[in-house]
Amino acid sequence: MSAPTVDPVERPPTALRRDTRPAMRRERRAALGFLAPNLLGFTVFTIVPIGASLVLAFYEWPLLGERVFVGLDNVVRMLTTDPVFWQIVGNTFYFVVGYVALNLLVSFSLALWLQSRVRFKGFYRFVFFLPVVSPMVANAMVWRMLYQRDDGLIAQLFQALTGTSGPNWLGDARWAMPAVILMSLWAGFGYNMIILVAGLQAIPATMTEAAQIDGAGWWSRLAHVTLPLVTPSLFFATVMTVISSLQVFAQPFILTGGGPGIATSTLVFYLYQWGFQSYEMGYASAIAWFLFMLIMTITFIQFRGQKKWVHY
Amino acid sequence: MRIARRHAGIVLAGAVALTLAACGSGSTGGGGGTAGSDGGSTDGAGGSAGGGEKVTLRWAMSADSQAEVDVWNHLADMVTEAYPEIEVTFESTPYREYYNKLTAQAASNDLACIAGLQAQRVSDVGSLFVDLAPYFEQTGFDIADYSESIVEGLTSDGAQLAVPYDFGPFVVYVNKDLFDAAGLEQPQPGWTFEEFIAAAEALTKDGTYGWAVNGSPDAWLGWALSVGGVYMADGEPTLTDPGVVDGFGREVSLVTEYGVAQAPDASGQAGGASDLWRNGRAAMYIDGPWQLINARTTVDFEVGLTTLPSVDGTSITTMSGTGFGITSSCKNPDEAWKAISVIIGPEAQQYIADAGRGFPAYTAAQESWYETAGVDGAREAIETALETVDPYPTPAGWQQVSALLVQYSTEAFSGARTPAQVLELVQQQAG
Repeated sequence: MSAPTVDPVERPPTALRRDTRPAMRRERRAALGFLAPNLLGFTVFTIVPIGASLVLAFYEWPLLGERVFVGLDNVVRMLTTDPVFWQIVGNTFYFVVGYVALNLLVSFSLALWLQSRVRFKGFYRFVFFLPVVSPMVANAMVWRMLYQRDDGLIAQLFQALTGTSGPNWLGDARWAMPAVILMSLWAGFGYNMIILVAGLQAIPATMTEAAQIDGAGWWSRLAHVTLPLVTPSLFFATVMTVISSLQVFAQPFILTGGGPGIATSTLVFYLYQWGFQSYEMGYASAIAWFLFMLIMTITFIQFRGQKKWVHY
Repeated sequence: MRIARRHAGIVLAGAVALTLAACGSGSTGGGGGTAGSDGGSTDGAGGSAGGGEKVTLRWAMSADSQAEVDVWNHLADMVTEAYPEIEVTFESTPYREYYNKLTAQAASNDLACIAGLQAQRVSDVGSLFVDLAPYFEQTGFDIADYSESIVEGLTSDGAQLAVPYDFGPFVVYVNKDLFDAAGLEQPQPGWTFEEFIAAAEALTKDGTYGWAVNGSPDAWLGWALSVGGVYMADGEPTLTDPGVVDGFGREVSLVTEYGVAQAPDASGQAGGASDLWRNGRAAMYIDGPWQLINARTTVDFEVGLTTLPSVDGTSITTMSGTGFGITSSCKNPDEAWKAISVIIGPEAQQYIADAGRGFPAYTAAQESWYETAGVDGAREAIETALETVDPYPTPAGWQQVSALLVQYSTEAFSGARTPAQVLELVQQQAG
């Protein structure tokens, strides 16, 4: 860049501005240029559709036919007269609580195990991460076979161990959600595991060594040294898992079709049904905005709560 | 530094170009990028279509296999052979997504000129099609050459929205080998519910079942119609009608009372019943004749067909079928009609029959379909079923009702809810 050779202090302020401003402007232009493709895509494919769906939420908007402005009718109908809406919200929370808790437990345990002196560490990490990159549709298809009553692999395991073929995973409303959670757990824990492995590796060995010299046992080191130091990773994993599990769709869509009854219908599955089976875009948008608010609120609460337990 | 900036400029230009290209391809489904297909070339030729210039027409239809795509492409070529100035480009979509795409395209004003229309979708998307009757008169086309029930199924308020190419009443598919192994006589059209139960009970053993149940109304409405059930009134579903409850209850009782069928699992996939039958795990199930040739070539047992067993002397089944119509936004309807008249014309119907695709709606081609199918009893079963078939008109939103019925029916089959409760729940949500 053509930097001024004269000491700027000795030059009049106007000359200074004249010299540096075009350079600044060029930099800014370049930055904007680099940002432009992403910004354009973000605007066209994210901001505009989000805005449009907000508008849609105030309309009775069938894909074909007349569109009528109905104000808050969709919201009122959703919250008061829809016979299944709250049950679907309940299902969604059932999934979120079950999935997030098990996911963190399993991924943290395995991350800890992989931190210890294990042979073929890299291989295990690869194997545990594999389900994350395999397509959910294929996973769900395979699990559907595993869950087959009487002759599925899981039923056969039960048969060998207990003499009965175990729960009717996909045919019984009480067992369908646990079946969806288990399958999602298998498919999803690898991601958090990798994040937590990275978090654990960042803990200086000197800390645990010092605790060990002071006489702290394994459990005590885990509870008072490792766990507090890995909380930033745990926090990140929790927030991301909660957000993604509130949006769960593929698993109920492929594995159970939302059934039996609506035992495994979640919010996104429900809005898909309204949007793409009934083509009622207005009502579907209202459900989408409810979900958006829900995610915002829960994430906000999580961020407020982190001061109490996350140690940076 | 100057060189670096120049590089940055090149990179930037590339990035912008890429983004624009991505936008272009990304929006083809949404209506922006139609140049090159209907929007571009048809419009250009639109004004001078009569002058012998080439007209390109888009034709949308579902296809689930390359074999089907090949059949449609062949028919598209037949159009150009007959009318050199017309070129038809076929747009294939899997059946599961076809009507979603059609509706989305209609909403974004990007409909193909010619589109497939299934009878049970008339209430939902029929408004996208124009009445073909005026073209019949202009060109001396005789709709009476096509089977009456499906012609009726493709009308709405007296308007003929499509000309059918295939159709069929739902019939019972039989695994003849299992009947032989059980020492049972092959079931004949006209058999009764009691005979059916006796056979199904004898066939249910060693992990094999007599029947494969299906929560879809396509499969069990026959029981309801046979006992006088009324599933719609004034354009609204009436699922709590006593006859409908009786009919659905009959299908459910095959699992819960007679134990001749396995309770189905909740599943996001259709086709559980046909899979059980194809795998030899159920001796009978209900489906349309369009499955026959496909089924015969993919199973390793002998296939038979018969009618739905009669209840108190009556056996009525529903039917389905698909035709082709002109969409209301088509800018070259005259050419589109010419193309359709080839696609559903005698030669094409003969070709479809010989290729063993759907059971032809064109009555003159049905004979050779029976020959291609080569299944004993197919003719008797289909012709008997057609005598009493219900054209299966549906209320608006029937697809949602149908999906909900499949979703909730698992609870009836498992005994968690009664058939009446399930129908009540679906009726509540449909309303």
